[in-house]
Order: sequence, then structure tokens, then C-alpha cells
Amino acid sequence: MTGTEEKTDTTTRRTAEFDHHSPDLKNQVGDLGVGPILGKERASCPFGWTEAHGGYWFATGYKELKRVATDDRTFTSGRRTTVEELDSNGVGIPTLPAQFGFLEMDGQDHQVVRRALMPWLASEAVARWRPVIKDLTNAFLDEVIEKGECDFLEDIASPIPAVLTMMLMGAPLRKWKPWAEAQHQQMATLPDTPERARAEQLVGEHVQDLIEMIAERRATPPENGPRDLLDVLCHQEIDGRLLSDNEILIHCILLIGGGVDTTTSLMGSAVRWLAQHPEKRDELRDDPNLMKTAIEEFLRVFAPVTGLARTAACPVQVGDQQVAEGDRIYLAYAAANFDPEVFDDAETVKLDRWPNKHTTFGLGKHRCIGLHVAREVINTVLTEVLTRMPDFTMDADAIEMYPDLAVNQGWVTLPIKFTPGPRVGSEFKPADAAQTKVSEVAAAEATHVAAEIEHRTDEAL
Amino acid sequence: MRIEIDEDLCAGHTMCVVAAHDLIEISPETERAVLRCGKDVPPELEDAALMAAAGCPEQAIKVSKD
Repeated sequence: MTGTEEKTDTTTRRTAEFDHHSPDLKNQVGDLGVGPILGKERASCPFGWTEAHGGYWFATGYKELKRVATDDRTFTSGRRTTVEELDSNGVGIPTLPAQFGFLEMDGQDHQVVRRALMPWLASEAVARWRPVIKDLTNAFLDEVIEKGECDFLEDIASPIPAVLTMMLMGAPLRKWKPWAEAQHQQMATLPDTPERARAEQLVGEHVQDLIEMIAERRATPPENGPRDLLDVLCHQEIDGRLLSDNEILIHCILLIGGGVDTTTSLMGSAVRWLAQHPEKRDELRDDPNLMKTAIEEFLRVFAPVTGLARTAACPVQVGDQQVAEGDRIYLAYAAANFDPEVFDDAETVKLDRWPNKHTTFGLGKHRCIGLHVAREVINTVLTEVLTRMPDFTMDADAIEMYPDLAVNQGWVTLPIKFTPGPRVGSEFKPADAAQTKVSEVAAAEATHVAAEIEHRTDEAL
Repeated sequence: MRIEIDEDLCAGHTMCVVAAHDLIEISPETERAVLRCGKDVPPELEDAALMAAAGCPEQAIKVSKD
């Protein structure tokens, strides 16, 4: 697997064996997730070419990844529709089955949608949701706390971000369970298996639900400006026009796909690691001041979005490599997070690591729009788990990683055991999933914050 | 203690908000870091200010003692 020089018509490419979809990756994963495995050739090949999937470049070096990710004019995220390449490219290698919302758009088209949603996901707005996140965490921990055991993934890490994302969007809550399952199962299954067929059926129903939800919302415009993300997409003029139903749908799928299973995976990875390092679990529990830096360290080590792709819009040099127009480039965030040039002692988990300039939320204009939400959820859930289930343990043989780690490194199942404790009560009830007062208050306050931000922006322009 | 952010250097990494959300926020308009209430750092936030300066990947934050 040593890097070799290969003569081509145009240039000399540094090549290595690399395949981010390899089913073998999962078997090589150790304590630190898939990052160190994807980056194992970094020293000789921080930016190289592989022949897998029709050929693409991969960036596992921090400097090389940053160079590509922050130059969004040269390295595009959009999908191309040409005669030869109908609906190709975007951020997946191979191309994703459907356009992943504004993540797969460039320039002004991308920027205007992002700008419209940003006030609702700004840190000031997200802070208003803190009591809701606490209530949801209480609710789902209460469901299992008396039993002394649960599947951390299915019972806690998946439902909390799922219900919260639906609340932020303003989606009806009664379908939270099949929606969360649809997100989780499409990652947890391999193509051409009965499990994947079931997952695809769930996703199909989920998309049908979204189509109906969008139609209903479009029929009822709000009287006093948007009240949630769905109102923004359905009723706010973006760049001088209303979005089409299909545009709204793909953006909704991105918000749900980006917001739900990624946060789930990160919390799963953190709890898995803490269960297998009980001395660190106790250290974090006993010193809440560590939580800030510990979360960033979990984000660095266990980047849930393993990597995303770009396409070169013109011939361009990256390091000493010549990239041709149209070449695809895979940005291996999980690998760049272990670059020893940037991170001292990169293969050691340090709960107090700082600075920590991980690439987990992406770099540049496509940086994760929901990162403030993610950090709030991770903080609350980890804090509550450490407080209410302080002695949690995990049977290392019973846990299972996703079969394909190319886009998301996460967990199929993570059974944990802990000393049973008392319920604390919550307004949200998973069984009936009725709207809660606490979420109505949060939504109203966040609406107010978003409107203020909008007003400020209008004045500045 | 005083804190300053060089907006031209800021690339929106958000690490300063992790370190010092009482002092700094990310502007939803520009997606760059801005000070919440001026350059003077209250004594109880001095550690947070130092952490923000140390944590900025672009070294866009400067902290100085009076």
C-alpha cells in the first residue's frame, strides 16, 4: 500500500490504494474509529489518486483538505447535468441517489438558501431551545432508567435529535419514530439485503410524509412571517422567488439527514469510548469543566461525517499534484483530524485538548449549518447520561458498527447496562408525542430572535 | 484585559464560541466572529478570552493585558 508514481498522459499522479466504501474498513476499526485507517498512508500520500469507483483524488492531510474545502469556486459541490453525465457529481462518490439539498449547490444559489435558514440556527436562536433539549433528554432517559439497560443508539441517541429536528422544522411529531428509524436504518444496512429493502420502504414512506407535510404547509401561509424552518422554505421569498415543492423537499431531506443521524453517531461513539475507558468516564463525570473540550475531542476523533466530495471546475494544482478539470476529490475529514502536523499526539484521546481545530463540521462556505444545535444536544445528552447513568458499561462483543463507513461512521447497536435509577418526569411523552408547552415557548422565542436577525440583516444591506 | 477579533482573518470555525460564548458570537449575516459587548473583558471571563485566542485556528483573536 505504499504510494507509487504512475505515469499518465497529462501528469504524474501519486497513487495509493484507497476506497472509502471498502467493507473491510469496518473490520480494521479499533478504539479510534475509521479516521486513522483512512489516513494511514498520509505521511507518504496526503493527497493522492485512487482507481476505485472510476478514479478520484483523496485528501487525508489537513493542509491539503483545507486548501480544497475553502476554495469553493475551484472545487464545486453542485450536481452537473450534461449530455454525457446526467445528474452526476455533487458531494458523493459515487453520486448520491438524489440531490442532497443546498449542500449540493454552489455560489449564490447555495448562499441564498443558507442565509434564509441561518437566523433560525444561529447560536442565539439555538440557545432558546436548551430547555426543550433537556426535556427530551429527560423523557427518553426516563423510558429506560428503571430497567438498568437499553440500546443507547435506539433508545437515546437516535430519538432525541430526531424529535428536536422535527420541532425546529415545525414538522408534526407523531411520526418521529418511523422518521428516526428511516434515517438510522438506511445507514445501518447494506445494499441488496432484506434489511435494506425494509429501510428503503421506510425512507419512501418518510419522503411521502414530507411531500404531504409540505403541501399542507403551503396551503396555510403564516399571518405574521415565518414561525419555523418549514415556513421559511415554504413561504419566504428566497432570492426574489418562492421555492418549488421539489426544492423544499430536497432541503428538508438535507436538514433531517444532516441533523439527525450524524449527532446520533457522534453521541454513540462518545458513549462507546467512555464505556470502554471507565477511568475517563469517571473523570468527565467528576469534572464538568472538561465537557467543552471533551466534546470537541469526540468530534475530532469520531467525525460522524467521514468525508464528502468536490469536483474540480478547472485544472488546478494541489500541493505537487496536478488535478484535471472534472476530477472528483474526496475530503476525508475523519482522516485529516489525525494529521500529526496539526494535532500533537493525534492518536491519543485527550479530553482537555485545546486548541482543537478539527474539520468535523467541514471548512469553508459549506460548513455544517446545524453545528450549534449539534453541540447543544451532545452537551445535554452526555451530561445527563453521566449524571443519571454514571456507571454505564458496554459489552464490547455486542456492539456493531455501520457496514459502510464512507459517509457516516456510526453504530447499528450499542447496548449499555447501568444501575437503575428513578424517573425525573418530562413534558414530552414518547408514547403520544404531543406538542409540549416548553417547545412552543422555545419556538416563539427563537422566532423572535430570527426576526431580529433578519431585521438587522435588512438594515445592513 | 482587552480582546480583539480580526474579521479578515476569521474563517468561521466557531471555536471561539465554544471557548467564550459570553464574549463572542458568530454573526448569522457574515458567519464571522463578532464581539457581543465591546473589547473590554470582565475579570470573570478572562480565562475564556485566553481560551478563545489560543483556540482560534486562524489566530484571528488577540488578547492583551491592560
